[in-house]
Amino acid sequence: MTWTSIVSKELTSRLQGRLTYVILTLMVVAFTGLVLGSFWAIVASVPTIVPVIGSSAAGGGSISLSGLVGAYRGVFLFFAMAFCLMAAIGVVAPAVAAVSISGEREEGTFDLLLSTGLAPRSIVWGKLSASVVFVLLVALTAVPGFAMAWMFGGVGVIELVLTAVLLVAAVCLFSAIGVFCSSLGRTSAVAALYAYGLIFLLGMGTLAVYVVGAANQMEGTFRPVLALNPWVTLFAVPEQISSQVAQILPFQFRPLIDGTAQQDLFGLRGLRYPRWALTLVLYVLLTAFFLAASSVAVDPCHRLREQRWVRALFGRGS
Amino acid sequence: MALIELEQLSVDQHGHKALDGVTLSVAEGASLGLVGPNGSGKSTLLRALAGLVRPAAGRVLVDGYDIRHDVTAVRRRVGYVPEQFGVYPRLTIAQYLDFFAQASGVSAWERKNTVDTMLRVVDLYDSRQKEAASLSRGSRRRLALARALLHNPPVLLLDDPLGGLDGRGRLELVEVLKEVRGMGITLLVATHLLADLAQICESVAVLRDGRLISLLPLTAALAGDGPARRRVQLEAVGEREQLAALLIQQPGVMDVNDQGLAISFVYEGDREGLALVLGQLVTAGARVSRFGPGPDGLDEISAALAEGVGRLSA
Repeated sequence: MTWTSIVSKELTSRLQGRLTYVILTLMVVAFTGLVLGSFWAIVASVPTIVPVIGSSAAGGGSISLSGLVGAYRGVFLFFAMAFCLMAAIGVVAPAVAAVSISGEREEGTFDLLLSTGLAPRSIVWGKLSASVVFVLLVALTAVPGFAMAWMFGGVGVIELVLTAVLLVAAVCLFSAIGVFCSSLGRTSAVAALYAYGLIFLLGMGTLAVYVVGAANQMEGTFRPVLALNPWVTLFAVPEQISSQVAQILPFQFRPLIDGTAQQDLFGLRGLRYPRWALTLVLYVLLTAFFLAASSVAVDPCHRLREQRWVRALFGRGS
Repeated sequence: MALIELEQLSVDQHGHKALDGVTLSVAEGASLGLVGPNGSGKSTLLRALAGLVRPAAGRVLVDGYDIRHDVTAVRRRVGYVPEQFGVYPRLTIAQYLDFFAQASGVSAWERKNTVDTMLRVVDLYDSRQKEAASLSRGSRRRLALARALLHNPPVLLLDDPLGGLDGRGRLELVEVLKEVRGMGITLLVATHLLADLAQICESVAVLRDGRLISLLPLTAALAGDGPARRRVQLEAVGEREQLAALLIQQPGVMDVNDQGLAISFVYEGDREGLALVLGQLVTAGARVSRFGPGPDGLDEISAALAEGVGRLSA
């Protein structure tokens, strides 16, 4: 298990700098401030007759967003936090992971690492693990904020676990994308740029594809694409509320955030999954793909490099 | 038995052939110097042996393992010290070596011992708690050497190990390399200065434009048997200006340089011709007290080798 040497080295290097502790402290302050700020905003904008603790569905009649927010303030607060944390992960994970291999190339240490005889997949796995652990450490700074939001009630244990699992899956995928780009990029800046581009595609690209598809009467065909979008999937986790919020949207776009709108998997009737399940499966597969591709990319003598198409993709590696 | 075998090795880099059909065999325990000018393919040859570049054609075998089929096994049998390398910031020397020992597969129970032994071999034991990034150039080279030896490889590849070091740094590293050679490790040392190899290697491979020009024992290269260019230094009692004027008239003599206490010149020709030059000086009345290789004489030979001036034979 020599990949563990990379994890411990990476964490030793990262945690010995003052900057890490400054960032961690700032994150705690930011997320705690976010909860307090959001709560203040909710209280200020919602009629005071709505109970503060716990949740209750809005009464009959037409649904308004402010009414829903007032009724489910604990849930909205919690998922607003999760949404922001996902955004923070989308910023931090690629930045951390994109340095992992290209940074070593820039420092002139990557050849030394490769010449140890450590298998490329172990190097890549070690780099990914170190990035994931570090990003999770940063993400843990949001726990006090989540705890405060949790106290307002309305979020079930299953929703809590699902949110946590989705966040961890996103950390893994974003980090794998970062490591992959790092294995291709000559510099960390270029690698980070590629990684942010891919994550932007996951966020905005999938949304754009879905909206265009839905506007052209092909909503059902393009709905599975939404499973790639971590923010959309996160919105769909609190099913009862997301289905009510979806009523605000035009009819053809409602499945966008409606957690109860399960989907036939790419048109296969009978294979119906909640969006989060499809997201998790896709994220695991994509993470594995990016890991495998990174292993080929970092090793100039990898067997697959004998193939012309691989050399065309990754260069000669010499 | 050959520990390293290269058969018609070619490597393409940036659209040109960095190595072109190199065939070479190095016996177990041998020490071979690779000389040649910049861009001749010395570093690429070492990187190919370390499994860091993919051959475009030909075979690379290290200890029987083919780089195309089992590159990890090749890497485990090779210790590689590149010309330019970095150290991880914020890691101490001991942490740095411990990391590489672990990555190289040195077992947990023998890791501390191995690291301590290597630190003593390269004389860095007392500095082991210092940050690796704070080391001087010479100490960094010794640290790199220790790192390359951690997993006890049978082959050690050194790319310009003495480049950029001051006199003391060179002396210290040469002593360590002599010790390493005594351990029976097969050494390949790339340099553009033959002088660097004088105390480390037994034979020399000359590369130019990615091709192997010649392979000869170091003693033959240093003796300059056959026509060659070398720097010679002489000391004489009396008028040096007249002596310098006399020297410049001799066939094969060029670049006469009065250095104060001594006169140095470059001579291109064989040893017989050089003996005749000395005879001419003595006949002309010069009182020569010393006549021998100049301080940078070996560099002149290596430059001649690299430029293809003359021929050196065993």
